[in-house]
Amino acid sequence: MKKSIFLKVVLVIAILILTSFSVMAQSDSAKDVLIYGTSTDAASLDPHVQNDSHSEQIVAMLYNTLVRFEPDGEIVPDLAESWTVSEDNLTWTFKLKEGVKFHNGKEMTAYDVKGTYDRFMAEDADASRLIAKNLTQMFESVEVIDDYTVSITTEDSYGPMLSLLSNRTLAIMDPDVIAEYGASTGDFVESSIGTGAFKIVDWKKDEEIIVERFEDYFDENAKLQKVIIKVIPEAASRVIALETGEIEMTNQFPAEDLQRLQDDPNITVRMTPSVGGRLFRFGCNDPIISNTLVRRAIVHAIDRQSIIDGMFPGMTYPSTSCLTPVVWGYADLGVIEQDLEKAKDLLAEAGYPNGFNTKIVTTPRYEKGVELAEVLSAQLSMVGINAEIEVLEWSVILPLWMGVTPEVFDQPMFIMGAGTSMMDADGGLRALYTTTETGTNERNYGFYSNEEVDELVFAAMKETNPEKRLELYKRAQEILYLEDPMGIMLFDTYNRTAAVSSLQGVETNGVGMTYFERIYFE
Amino acid sequence: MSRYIIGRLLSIIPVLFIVSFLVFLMLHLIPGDPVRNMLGLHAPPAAVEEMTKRLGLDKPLHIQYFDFLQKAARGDFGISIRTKQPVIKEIRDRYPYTIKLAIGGTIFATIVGVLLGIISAVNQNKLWDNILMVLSLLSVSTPSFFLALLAILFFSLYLGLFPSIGIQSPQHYILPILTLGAQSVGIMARMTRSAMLEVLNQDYIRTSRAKGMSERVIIYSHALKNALIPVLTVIGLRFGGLLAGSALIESVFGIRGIGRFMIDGVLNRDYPVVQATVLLIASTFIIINLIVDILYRVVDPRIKY
Repeated sequence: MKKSIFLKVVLVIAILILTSFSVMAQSDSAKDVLIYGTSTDAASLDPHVQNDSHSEQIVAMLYNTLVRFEPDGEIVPDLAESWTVSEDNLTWTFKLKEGVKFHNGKEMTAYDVKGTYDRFMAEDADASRLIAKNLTQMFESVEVIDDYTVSITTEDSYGPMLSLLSNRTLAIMDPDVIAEYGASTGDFVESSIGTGAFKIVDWKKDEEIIVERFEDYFDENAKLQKVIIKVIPEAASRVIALETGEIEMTNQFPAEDLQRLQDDPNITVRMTPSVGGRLFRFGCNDPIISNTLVRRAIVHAIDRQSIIDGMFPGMTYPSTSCLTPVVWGYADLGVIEQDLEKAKDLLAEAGYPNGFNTKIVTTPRYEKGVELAEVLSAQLSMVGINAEIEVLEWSVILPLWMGVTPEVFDQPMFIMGAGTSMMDADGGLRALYTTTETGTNERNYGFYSNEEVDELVFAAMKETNPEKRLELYKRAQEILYLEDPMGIMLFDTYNRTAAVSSLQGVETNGVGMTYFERIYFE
Repeated sequence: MSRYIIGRLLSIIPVLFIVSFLVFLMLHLIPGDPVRNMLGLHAPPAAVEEMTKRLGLDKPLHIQYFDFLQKAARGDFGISIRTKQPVIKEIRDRYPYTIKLAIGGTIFATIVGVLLGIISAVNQNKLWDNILMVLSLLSVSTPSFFLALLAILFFSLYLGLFPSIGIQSPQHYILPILTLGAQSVGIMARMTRSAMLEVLNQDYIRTSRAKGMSERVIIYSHALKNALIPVLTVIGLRFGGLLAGSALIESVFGIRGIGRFMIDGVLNRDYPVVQATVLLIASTFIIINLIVDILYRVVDPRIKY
């Protein structure tokens, strides 16, 4: 009786299983549809507002900038076909390509470029759009010369201009769309209009974004007809979905899965050098940490290679400067090897022969953030520095980092990610390590201050001769990395993608943006 | 009885009031700032200030709460700070997935759990009973998250039987429902077993056997019906647990349900979202328990309200 009911239940389950065979038949993508897995939905598709890599990747598919980076860092024309600089180095004049269409059919002209830039350069620009505004503080005005010629004038000569303009945050938008949607621009399909190789056709928040090839793209059309960007928050699920074929590409997978994916004959893993690095910055307002000798001691107490071997095997290499090799202006200053004797000597010279007590603040938001802090603390204890660890959730740590005064800031060492969308040392150094004027830390979270670095970085910003700029940046890095350290540089992160092997043309630049318009199935 | 039902329905309002107040208080007292979450690490202080004003987050707490109540009474639960969509729209889009998972999980857990519980009770202390009780212990102690990943690994990757992510077709529901309900199977089995055992040892069961009634009729018509009351209680409680606990399953399977939405809301300090989703889940739970109470009456006409 109960047995027969049991049998019936088993029978039903068996039927369910058998009927499910149809599901795993073929992956339902044709040869020109790509299913891409990501961990988080885009926060906004308004280029001037977005501030995270997930949004930026999709913005890169939908919009263009005046000039753009190639995978090797070379700057090439995008919407502008050529440009000149005035004698006094203050005015850049761009000749735009003709026949460029927005996704809504409108033709792009110099008026649209001006309209785009005026949006965030205006005095009363909506402060929450300031991401773009903040990047362009040196811009004085943008003028229309004729329908296809536009000029940008800066207050002072600005060496990294082209690198800055390659930043997706400064993408060209349709001012009519901005006028129509205002603060909702970039929040849904209709208000995310660009000139890019793909146009957005559907957006189910936290589930998926669907983009399709824009047939009137001004450059060579994308090879794929459609890309479906699926949101899969759990890393293990994402990796499994790649292995079952339910997604065909992802650029976020845990370090532990690298070996497994590389061993899978159906999957190709690509690692490209990135602008990003992992470090622990110094809070220079702390009485002990403010001592240069102490900071030098600390950076020499750390064994970077063992950290990499233990936590990120095969995925990276130790840092050789406070910038990574793909950032223009990078100078190779070598790996700082662990030297416990030197560290102890420096500590003694600083007045701490028996070490001291301090604190490391970290957050799990950065991959293995907590484990990194633990290892650092263990290594520091070998020279007598007793560092307690404070773990904070991302929501909690953000307000503690931003816009605070030195009296309030209480993080002698804290985890941080380095990187710059500009791929230029100006972006990697100026906002982060020059003394702030307002008294709060702004983006110089650790209150680092060194007069010579200030001079060098501002001089390099105004310098238009590349050779001279490189010299200035090299000296600045020597100070920031070795002589008066701003933090413990650990390792450079790699951009990594894992895709089914039939997918070709997968190229990723240093900022981490993949050129989806070049991807195709073999 | 209908007076009872109306009375219970009306009592939802003060309960929701208290829940909403407590949630509001907790959200605003914990550290963390939704605006900074939204604008990211490099946003300048001026931008943060402007956005805070725009979202009305600079007003005193009691004003914010009354604003929320006023709007909620009209069905306006505000805009999600993170997705910028009306919260009510987000809920409408996401809630059906979670409800289907929770109902599916409960039905699965009930059918399998009750069956196993009956088998256990009838075979008390014999081999089947011991096996099933160990299995139910396993089911209760295995974290749903872990079980889900194992299930995906085994059924999706190695056997290729079920899809691992998304919720597009009926087959997509199978693994999430099974893993969501798996923990409850053990609880149902144990509950049913002890309820049945208590009933099976009663005199009237012995009388039925003496009268020569078939064992099957005794178990299903007489014993089970009397054992149902505690089992029903557990079903109601488990459904509430599945509603709230769906977040992990939704994360693993990439399903945009209300559980994940609520957790993301908490992590991002998305106040409107957390307020609305907690209220939603609280009301659903209250209604489910009301239904369970009504079912008591159906099962046992002696119960009077």
